[in-house]
Amino acid sequence: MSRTKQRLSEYARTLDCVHCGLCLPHCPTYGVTSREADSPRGRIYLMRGWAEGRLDFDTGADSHLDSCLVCRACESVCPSGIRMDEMMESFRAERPGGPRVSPLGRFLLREIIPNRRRVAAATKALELYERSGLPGVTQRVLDRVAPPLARAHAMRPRIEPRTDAIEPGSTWKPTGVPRAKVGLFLGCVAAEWLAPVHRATVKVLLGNGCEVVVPESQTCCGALHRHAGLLDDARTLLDRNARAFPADLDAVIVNAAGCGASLTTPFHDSDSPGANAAAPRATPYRDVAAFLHELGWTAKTRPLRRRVAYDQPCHLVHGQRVPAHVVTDLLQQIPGLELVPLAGSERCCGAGGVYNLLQPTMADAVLAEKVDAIVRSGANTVVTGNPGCLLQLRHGLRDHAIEVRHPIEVLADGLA
Amino acid sequence: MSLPDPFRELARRFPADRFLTDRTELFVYECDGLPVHRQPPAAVVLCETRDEVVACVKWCAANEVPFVPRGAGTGLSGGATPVRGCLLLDLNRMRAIRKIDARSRYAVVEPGLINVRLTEAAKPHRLMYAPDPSSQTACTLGGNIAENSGGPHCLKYGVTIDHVLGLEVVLPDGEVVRLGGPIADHPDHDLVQLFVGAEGTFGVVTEITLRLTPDPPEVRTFLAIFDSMAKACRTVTEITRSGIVPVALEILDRRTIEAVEASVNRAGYPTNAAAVLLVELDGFAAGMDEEERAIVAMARANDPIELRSARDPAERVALWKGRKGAFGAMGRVDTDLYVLDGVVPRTALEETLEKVYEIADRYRVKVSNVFHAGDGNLHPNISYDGRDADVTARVLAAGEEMLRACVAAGGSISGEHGIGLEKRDFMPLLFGEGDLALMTGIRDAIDPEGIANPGKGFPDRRAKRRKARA
Repeated sequence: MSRTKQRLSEYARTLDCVHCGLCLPHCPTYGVTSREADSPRGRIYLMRGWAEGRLDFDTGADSHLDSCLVCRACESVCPSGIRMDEMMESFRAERPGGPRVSPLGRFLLREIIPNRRRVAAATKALELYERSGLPGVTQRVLDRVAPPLARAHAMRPRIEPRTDAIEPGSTWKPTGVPRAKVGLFLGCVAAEWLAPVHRATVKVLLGNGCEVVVPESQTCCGALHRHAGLLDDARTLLDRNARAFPADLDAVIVNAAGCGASLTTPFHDSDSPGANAAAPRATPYRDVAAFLHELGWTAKTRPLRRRVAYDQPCHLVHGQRVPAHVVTDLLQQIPGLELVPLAGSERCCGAGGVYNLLQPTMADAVLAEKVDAIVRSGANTVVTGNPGCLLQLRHGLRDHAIEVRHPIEVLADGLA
Repeated sequence: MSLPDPFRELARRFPADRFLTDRTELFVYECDGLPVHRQPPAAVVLCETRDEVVACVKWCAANEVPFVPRGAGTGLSGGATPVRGCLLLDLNRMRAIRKIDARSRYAVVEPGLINVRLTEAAKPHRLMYAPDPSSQTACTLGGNIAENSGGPHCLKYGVTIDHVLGLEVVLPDGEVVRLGGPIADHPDHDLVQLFVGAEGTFGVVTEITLRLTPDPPEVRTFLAIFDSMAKACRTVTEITRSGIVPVALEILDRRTIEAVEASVNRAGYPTNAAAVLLVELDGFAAGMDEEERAIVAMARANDPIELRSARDPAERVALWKGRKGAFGAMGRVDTDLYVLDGVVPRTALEETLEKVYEIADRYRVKVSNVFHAGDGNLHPNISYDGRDADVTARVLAAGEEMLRACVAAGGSISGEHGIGLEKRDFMPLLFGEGDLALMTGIRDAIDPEGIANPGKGFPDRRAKRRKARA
C-alpha cells in the first residue's frame, strides 16, 4: 500500500465509502447529469481507483473531480461519515501535475486576495469600469464571441456603497456592561464588496450587548486556496489570522459560511496550524448566527413586513452543521416577518466559491433549480449567509423582484 | 477508446452525454451496492424514454450483445453488476410520476423514480407507498421490482410484489408488453407476479402501476431492551402468536448495540443490553390501546432491562435512531461491509443466530446482526477489508455457510435482496433439479438468446454451454 499512500495522502478516507449510494440523490451535479462519475460515490471510486493504480487520469478524465462543488451535502447523509472536503482537497493538491490553477488564478489568489490594499484598488477599478458605461458594450461583445467569459462578466459583483464601512483596527462598545467580547472576521473581497453585511453584523452584535474588535492584521481565510489545492498558501493565511486576533475573545465572529467552514476545519495533515496541538488555544471562530443563537437575543426590535425564505449555505449546514432553525429562530425575533418554507434549501445554489466562474455550465444548471424553488416559495426576500451564494443568487434572480440579502442585514433592519 | 463498430452505430442515436464509452466513466459502473463483484460494461446508455429502451434492446438482440438494466446501483446482491461486453441501461432519467389516482389508490410511475419520492407525492392525498427498503431515499422503484425488495415495515404491508398492479415491459427481443393494470382482476395468467423479482432477466420494466396504501392515522413505537437474545426472540414469538400484526418488529444484537453506542449515532442503550427489540404499531386509534397494553405485557413478562415508548414523531425518531444508524455504524468498523440476507422460521431465530456467531468466529470475521425479526429475515453484517484477498475469501465462505444454516433451519437464501450474482450458485440448496429446470425453462422461453442480464438469479448454465460450443 506504500505506492497508494504516495499517490493520495487521504487514500484511507476513500475506504470509508461502502458504496451504498445513499448520497446520490443529494448531489447537485449528479442531479444534473445522472452520471455515476458525477456523484459522490463515483468520485470517491475514481479517487480510490487512481490511488490504487487501477485507473489513470492521462486524458483529462479527472474532469469529474473538478466538477465537484464540494458542497458537502453528501457528508450530511453518509452513514459511513465520509469527508468529501478532505478527499477533494488532498486530490486537487496531489493529482498528476499538481494543483490545476490558471496563471491568472494563481496571481489573484497569491498577490491580490490576501492583500487588503490591492483588493481595495481592484475594487476601485471595478467601480470606475461600472460607471464608465463600458460594461453594456463588453457584455454584448462577449455574449457574441465568448459565452463562458460573458457568463463571468455578467456575474461581476455590483459593489455596494462603502459609506460607514467597518474599518480594520476599529473597536465598538455597546451601552452598558458587555455580555461578550468578540472579534470580527472581515475576509478578503467581502469587506470591499459587501460592506453593508459587516455594518449590519456590528450593529446586531452591539444591539445584543457585545463588544466588537476588528483587528488590523487579519487576512483572507484561504478557502479558495484550499479548493484549488494550494494548501501551503492556505496554511500561511490561517496562521496569519490566528496571530491577528487577541487571546481574550469569547469568539471570532464570521459572517461568511465558506470562510467559517474553512477556518474551523483543520488541515488533514497534522503539521498545519489548524491542527496544531501545541498551540495554546485554537482561535474560537463562530458563525454569527450560531453565536447569537447561543448567546440569546436581547436586542429591541421593530416590525418588518417581509416574506422571507432562508436558503442555507452549504458550508453552514453541511460544513459547520448549523441547522436551519438556528437562523430562522433569530429571524423570528422580528415581529411581522413571515418565514416561508423553501424546498431544497439545503441544496447547493451552484456558487461553490469561484466554481461558478470555472464551471459555468454546471453552475447554471444547479442554479436554475434553486431559482425555481425560490420563485415558487412566494418570498419577496431570500436570505443566505455567504458572499458567494449572495452573488450567485443575485445573478440568478436578476430578472425577479426578489431581494437577496444576508440574514444579518434583515436582523439589523429589524432593530428598534 | 476503441469501441466495437456496432456500438458506434447505436451511440450515434444518443447525445454524447447520454452514451458513455470513456474508460473513466465506465469504471464507476463496474459494481453496484455489492462491490465484491466487479466488471466494467462496454458502454452505458442513459435512457429517457421507452422508445430509447426499445431501440437499445432491439439493437442488443440484433447484435447478440447482452444488456443489464440498472437503477441507482444500491442493490446488495449484484443484480446490476455488468456482464462482460454488455450495454448497461441506466434508467435514472426515467423518473416521472405519470399519474396518482387518489380515489382508486394507485400510481403510475417510471422505473427510475426514487422510492421515497412516490410516498412524498402521495402524502398530500394521505396515501403512501408501503414497501420501504432501508435505501428508500436512494433506490429506484424499477430496482425494487427487479429484486422484489422489502423493508422494515413490510411485516404488515407485504413486500414489493404485493404492491405491483401492472407493468410495461420491453422484452428481450424489443417487443413491448403490458401486464396487469390498475383494476383488481385480470383474466390472464398473473405474469406481473412472474416478472417481479426476475432481476431484469425477462427484460426491462419501463412503466409501473403501483398500489398506494392509506397513511395510517395513528402510530405507536416501543423499544424493549433485554439482557439476552433469547428473551427478545421469545417476545417476538409471543407477539406473532397473539394475532397482533405490528408494522415492524426489529432486533439489534449485542455486537450491533456496541457498534451503535461507539458511533456518532449512539442511542443511549444500557451497557448490559444484549438485544434491543423495536415494535411499531400503526392503523386506526380505535383498538390500539388494547394492542399496546398487550404488547407491553408480553415484553414485561420476559423481564426487560428497560421499556421505552413514543407517541409523537420526535420521540419515534429517537427510538428508531439506533436501528437506522446501525448500518452506518457497522460501515465504520472496517473498509467494506457485506450485508447478508437470509430467512428462517421465527421460532428458529435464536438458534440460527448462535450458529451465525459460531461460523463468524470459526472464519475469523466480524459479524453483527440487525434483522426483521417479525418475518424471520436475518441480516448478518460482516465488516472486513476487501483489499485483502484472503480475508475476502473467508468472508464469502462464512457468508455461504450462514446461508446454508438458514436453509438447514427450514428457511431461505433471500428475504429481500434478491439472488443476483451473489447467491445464484446457492439456488440448488433450496431447489431441486426439476424446480430449477422449470424456472430456467420459463426464462429461456422469454429470453431464448440469453442476452437479458445473463448469469443472474440462476447458476449460469448457458455460459457453460457457450463455452462448450466455443
